Amino acid sequence: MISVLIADDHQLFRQGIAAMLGDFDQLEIVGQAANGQEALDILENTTPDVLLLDIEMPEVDGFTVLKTLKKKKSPTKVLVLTMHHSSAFVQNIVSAGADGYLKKDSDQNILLTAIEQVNASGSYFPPETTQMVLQSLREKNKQGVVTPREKEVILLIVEGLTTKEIAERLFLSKHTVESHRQNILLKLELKNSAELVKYALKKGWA
Amino acid sequence: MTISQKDLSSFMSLIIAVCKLHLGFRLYHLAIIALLVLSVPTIYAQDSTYKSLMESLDTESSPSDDLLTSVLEETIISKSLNARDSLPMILDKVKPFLKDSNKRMQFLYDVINSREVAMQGNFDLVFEVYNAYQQDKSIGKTDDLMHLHTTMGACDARKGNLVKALEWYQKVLELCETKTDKSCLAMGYTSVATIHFALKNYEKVKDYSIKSYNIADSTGNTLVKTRASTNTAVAFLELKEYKEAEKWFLKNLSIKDQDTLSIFTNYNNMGGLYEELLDYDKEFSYLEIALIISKRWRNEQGQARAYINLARNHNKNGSNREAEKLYAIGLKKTEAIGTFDVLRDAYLSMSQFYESTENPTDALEYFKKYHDINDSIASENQRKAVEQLEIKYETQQKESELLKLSKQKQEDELVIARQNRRVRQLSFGLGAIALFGILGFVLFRQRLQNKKQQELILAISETQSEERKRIAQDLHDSIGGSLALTKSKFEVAKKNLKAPSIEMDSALETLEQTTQQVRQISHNLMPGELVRFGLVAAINTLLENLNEEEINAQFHSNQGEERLEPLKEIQLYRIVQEALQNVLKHARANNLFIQLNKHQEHLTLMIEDDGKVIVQDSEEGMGLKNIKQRVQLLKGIFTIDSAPERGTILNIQIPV
Repeated sequence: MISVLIADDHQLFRQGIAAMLGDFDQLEIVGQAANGQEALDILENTTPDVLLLDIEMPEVDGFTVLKTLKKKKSPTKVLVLTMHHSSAFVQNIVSAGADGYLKKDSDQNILLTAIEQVNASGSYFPPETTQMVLQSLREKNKQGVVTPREKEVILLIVEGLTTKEIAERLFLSKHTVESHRQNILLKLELKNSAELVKYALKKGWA
Repeated sequence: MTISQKDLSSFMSLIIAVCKLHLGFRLYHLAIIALLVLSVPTIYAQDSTYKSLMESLDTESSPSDDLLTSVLEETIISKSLNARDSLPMILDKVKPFLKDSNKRMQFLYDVINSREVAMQGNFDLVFEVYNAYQQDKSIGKTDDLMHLHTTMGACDARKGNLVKALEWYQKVLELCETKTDKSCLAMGYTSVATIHFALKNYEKVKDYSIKSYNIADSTGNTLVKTRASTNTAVAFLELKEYKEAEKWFLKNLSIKDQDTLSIFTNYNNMGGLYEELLDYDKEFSYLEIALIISKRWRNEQGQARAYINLARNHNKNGSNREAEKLYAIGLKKTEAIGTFDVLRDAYLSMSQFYESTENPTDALEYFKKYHDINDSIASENQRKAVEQLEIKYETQQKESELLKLSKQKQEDELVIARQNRRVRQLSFGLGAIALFGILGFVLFRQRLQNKKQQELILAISETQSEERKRIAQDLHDSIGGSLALTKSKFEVAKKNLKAPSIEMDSALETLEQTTQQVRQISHNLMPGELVRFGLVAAINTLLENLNEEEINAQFHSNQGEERLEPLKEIQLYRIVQEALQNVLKHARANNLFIQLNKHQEHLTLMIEDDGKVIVQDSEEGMGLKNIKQRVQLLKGIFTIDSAPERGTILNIQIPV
């Protein structure tokens, strides 16, 4: 038997989830909280196996609950049940201490699976969510690489052209060329154009 | 000469108020006031021509038509300042001798009378007089037409129809140009200056007023001289050049024989100067005198201003009860006169008062009232229309001048004209609110100017953001959550069905779509990522939701999780959203690079695509216009670089 606490500020949703989970004999709903503070109060006295936690709640929100539980090293596993769906969101709840994540419109059976897995193995993330987060991490790795146009600008700087000359050559405004130059130096962590020339030669770009 | 009890009491209170001004208050102010208080009932003018005319009028039991006409003519020009104060008396004296046979006399009387009535806030008579005489060729004189147009202009200006007012003044200007004596230009500049007052173009007010002052000085028109020096002083005050302001106030004080309106204006303005210099005690003393003067000579508009200004002074000194009382009186008077600028200033002042006393409901109500008036007056449309009218007039002037020149000279002149455009713009102007003395007097409350407007835009933008945030969250959590639950319940019900049901499938599909739509709407209103995790996360999420086959989008930022001010985050996010929409809808690009980099003193947002070039006037150009406005709000710089085969680069820099 897995004991479950539900924390969500929408009564209708709370009761709906409770009714749905009531269908399963392996689960026991031990309580319902209408906001983060209520959840923390209940958790003072009881230690359910799994907490179904909403994030957007008035007064004390889900993030605060997560952080408080983590600090207390509570054995209760937290499955975040939310409407939010983005890698930024998932990454943030994970670093706040969430053990699992599920969208609110998920299927009844998936909800059961998630609760069981979080309880047994300590974590659950739907495959498409994992995919989304991995993709975003891959994208982040790509960062820091100069764009094709920036590379054009670098080559002209190496040729010894001034900002004005580069602007004329590439049909850009001086202002844009200057922004390109600044962005390039920032991304490659270089101090000035002289260092940029050295860098470009070393990389064999010119 | 008799002094009534009432005169005496107001005189005494005046003396007391004056004595309160211990520092830097010159004795001759006191003398002027004392003289004014005691002598107004009999003194007509120091001006010798006028004085002798008035004396004859006093002694003759049945004055001739010629004498009466001369008196009225002198009065309508009212070069001499203190002639203004005796207007009601002159009108009373002349009235019994008016006759149908002398149309000109009747005309002069009607114009003067309508002005006097308008001073009390009723413009109807002015329009009646205009309608009665506009087709009448028998009045004939150029000067008379000028008076008529000027009066109309002043009425329109007072009601806030600035474009119409400027049209009247330009008509007067044209008439003035046909005369050999150009002294009427002085009045013209002052009139045009008042329009710029209403539009808060203080640089222009200053330029026109100084020109006006110089002409009036050389032609001995003390009335215009007084108005022009006051306006110049106030313009400097608004431009925060206090030394210059003081210099012009003193210049004004040195003009002898001022009318009570000028004296009121001066004290009111000196109050403004000291408010600006945060010397509220001195401000109080000046305002108190201003109030006494305006009460003494039944200047309703002056009283309204003085009450509102005094109320604000009390508020600043911490006596809010007294302030509220004075605001109530001031507002009643202001609403009774209905002059737009006095009303606008009053509402703003009251809104600030209620804000300071932590009464947000009333503060908001008065702010809305202020905003309504301000929108209609200082609107971009009015501003632009005035600007265009000025250019049109200038062009006409230029053309007629050019006709007089030889061909060779014409070419030279064109070059010079182009160079001196600004200078030329100043050299017309006409009309004479000054004569009327209504708008010309000091709107020292208008110093909210650009700074206030900027704050206003920010305030609206922030309130909107808060509101959007709230609606977005409600939609997302409350309705979105309920829909999600309903969907789950239907899924359960579907499983319990004995046979597959097309209706159930279709209902579920609709439910799924609705959930998606609610999510999308809520996200468009205010993305949760932006509120919670900041700009970088929000832009990442925006790009995550793009179809990879449609476009390859990359985002780079050194900003990390560091947060910016909410306004900056929201505006920059909207810019990215707008740009993205442009690229997806119109540019058909393959690649999109977005960079958000924090440099030492600024933040650069660069959005590059390799699609089709966007035409600025098109629908997508509208998106660019919105971006431009947002950048302006952030006080940033915006450049667009685009070329065929290469795509578009939006480059935005904002200060941090």
